[in-house]
Amino acid sequence: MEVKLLPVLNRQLVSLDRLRGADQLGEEFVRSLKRTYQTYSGDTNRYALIRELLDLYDILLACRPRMANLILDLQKTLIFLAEKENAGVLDLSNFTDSLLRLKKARMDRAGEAGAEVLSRGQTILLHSHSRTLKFILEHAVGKVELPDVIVAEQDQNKTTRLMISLKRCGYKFKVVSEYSLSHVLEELDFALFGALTLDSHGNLIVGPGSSALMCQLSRARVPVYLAITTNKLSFWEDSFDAAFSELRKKERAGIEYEKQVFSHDLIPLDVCKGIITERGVLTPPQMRMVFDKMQRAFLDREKLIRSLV
Amino acid sequence: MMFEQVVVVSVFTLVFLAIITEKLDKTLVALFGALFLISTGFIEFEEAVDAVDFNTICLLMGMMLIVETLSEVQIFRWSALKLGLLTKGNPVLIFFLFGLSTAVFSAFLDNVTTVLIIVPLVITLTEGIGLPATPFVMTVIFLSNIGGTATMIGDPPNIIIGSQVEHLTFMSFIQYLTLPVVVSSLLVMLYILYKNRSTIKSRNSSFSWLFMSNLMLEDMYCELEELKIPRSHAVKSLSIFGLVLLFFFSHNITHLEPSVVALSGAVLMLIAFHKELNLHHLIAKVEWPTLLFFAGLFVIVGALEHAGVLKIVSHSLVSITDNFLLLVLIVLWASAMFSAVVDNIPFVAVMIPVLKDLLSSGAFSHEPKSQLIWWALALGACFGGNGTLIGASANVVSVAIAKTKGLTITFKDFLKDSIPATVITLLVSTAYIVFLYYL
Repeated sequence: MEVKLLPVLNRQLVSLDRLRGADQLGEEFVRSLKRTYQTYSGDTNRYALIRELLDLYDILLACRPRMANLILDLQKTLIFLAEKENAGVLDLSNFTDSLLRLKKARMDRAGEAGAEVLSRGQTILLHSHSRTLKFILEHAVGKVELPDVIVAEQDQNKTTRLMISLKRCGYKFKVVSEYSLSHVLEELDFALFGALTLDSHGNLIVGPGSSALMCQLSRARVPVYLAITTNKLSFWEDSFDAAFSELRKKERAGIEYEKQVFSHDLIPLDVCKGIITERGVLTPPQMRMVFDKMQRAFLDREKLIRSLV
Repeated sequence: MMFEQVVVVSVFTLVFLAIITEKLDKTLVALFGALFLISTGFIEFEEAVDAVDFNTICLLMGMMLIVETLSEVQIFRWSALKLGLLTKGNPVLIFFLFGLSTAVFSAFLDNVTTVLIIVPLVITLTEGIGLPATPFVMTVIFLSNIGGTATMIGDPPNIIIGSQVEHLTFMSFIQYLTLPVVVSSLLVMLYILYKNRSTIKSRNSSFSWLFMSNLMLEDMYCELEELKIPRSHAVKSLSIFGLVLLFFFSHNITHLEPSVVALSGAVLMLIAFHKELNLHHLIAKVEWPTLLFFAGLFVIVGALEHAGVLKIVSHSLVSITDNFLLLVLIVLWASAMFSAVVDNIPFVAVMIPVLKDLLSSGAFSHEPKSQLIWWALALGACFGGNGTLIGASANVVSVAIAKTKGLTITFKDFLKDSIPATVITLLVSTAYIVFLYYL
């Protein structure tokens, strides 16, 4: 493992994840792999490529937070190489194309499932701005009667991006501060959130502020739906920091203090009424079953790729 | 007369010291010095107004407005991203493409704008693929000062020289300064490349690093796609900018002062974008403190001239040598050494009337190669800016940008490359001037 590459790649991935979101980062990651296969001037025989990809795989595993969708794609690539005799650069390029098609198909199916959920309500609450959520909002246009939207105002950039998506799609919306939602709870038919990942402890990793909101909504019996595709699930059994934190030195009114800032929130899966995935709208128990099955497959693949070298 | 000279020289020295030590804002100091001299009668108000070179100030103002509009329309961001993509993440291509582009941009835009566009992207690109960013940033800094020397609008000393020396035109700057600028750029780049040859090389044989650079490129593609510049904005802004350059180049035919061309171009830009951009916001972005600094400085220099100080300086220079070539080379190297440590603008502002006086009287009044002295002043003042970290605004701004991105370049770090680079450029300039003298 190249020690120096790790901090550089980690920094880059965190920055891109923040700027573009996990889904777009996933696409950029796969396209970058394809470009690398095409321009790599080193040894391109199958075993050499397996070694190189395994090195990259280990580096990704060492990154914090771990980017589940990237690791999964790399794992699948390694399995492809392991199973296909005489696989070369061209085969790998074609395989990355198939990964990109799979991503699109996954998003389309999630969009269909999400559109069906949107048709269930007249007034809904939106807080996060994930690409999956944005896709669902866009996908519903022209297919179902669009609900009115209340936007829970949070970070200015995120709220603005959400408003731009809504305006572009023609949704009627109003903005309410996330601190004052108690006044509009009765108007809501349900709330829709995005998530970064679901871990093996049954915790959803969500945007900052989402956890408190979801609890408030749950207590007020407002159904909470969550949109996440299964390629973003984190199957590791060890505890890892999906939400990383940093301690920042600050000063206010002449008082110096330390502020601990967390990148994400945690909330148990059971808070949700339904989870919108490319497999349809799942209840929490169904989601757990899917997770367990996919986790077993993931760990089997992990054993296989470790046996490659 | 003696008392007047002592007072005026003292005011100039105090202003100069204040600028060097940065205890007070230089605009404030220059304005205070100018108003002190006017209010105490060492220069009459009308003489002070005459001393202010409105050609320089209007040229600067016009270019600032044009550059600000281009920036608002995102032309620079688009260009920088396109440049980044052209490199394909190859360290050698990053080095050469960004270095040469910096030199070209600097020739037509002010150096600070150029480094504000290029330095952040260079740091992002190089650090994103695990390269040490310092040699790339240093190259951009050096090339911004070198490239800015090539045209009349590329660097403030050239703007002042071109505005105040009558027979020097936009084309004559290009005609006489392009060759030393091109040769110096290439030699400085080759020097830095040679010094960092173990790091500035292709990474195509390292899979993980190659992947890293492709990830960066992929993101730049996405950013470029999201940067939707309306076609009409690009056409309008680039057409007007092109027109301004065309009129600069054709000064011999149109006889339009560069300041008139620049201001006209700026007004055209403001009219073209009056709906899309906030006019008052654009005008507010003009560096008024810089323009006021120039005005104050011109008044102080005018007072020096009025008191006869500059005549004394020019006579002293003549007494050093009666060999014109030697004098020119002294001007070259002295300008460079001064520029390396102090602001070159006051130095050039003072030297112009001194050299004009020197050329119009005495031993050098019939010197056929008299123009060489202006090229020596321009080359020395601009190239000398590379000498130290404080030698030029572009240096200070670049190092500050680097610091915000976690890259520290100390004064000593800067000197390790800047001294050899400056010596290279001055040797090229010396050889060039000697060649021109004997041509």
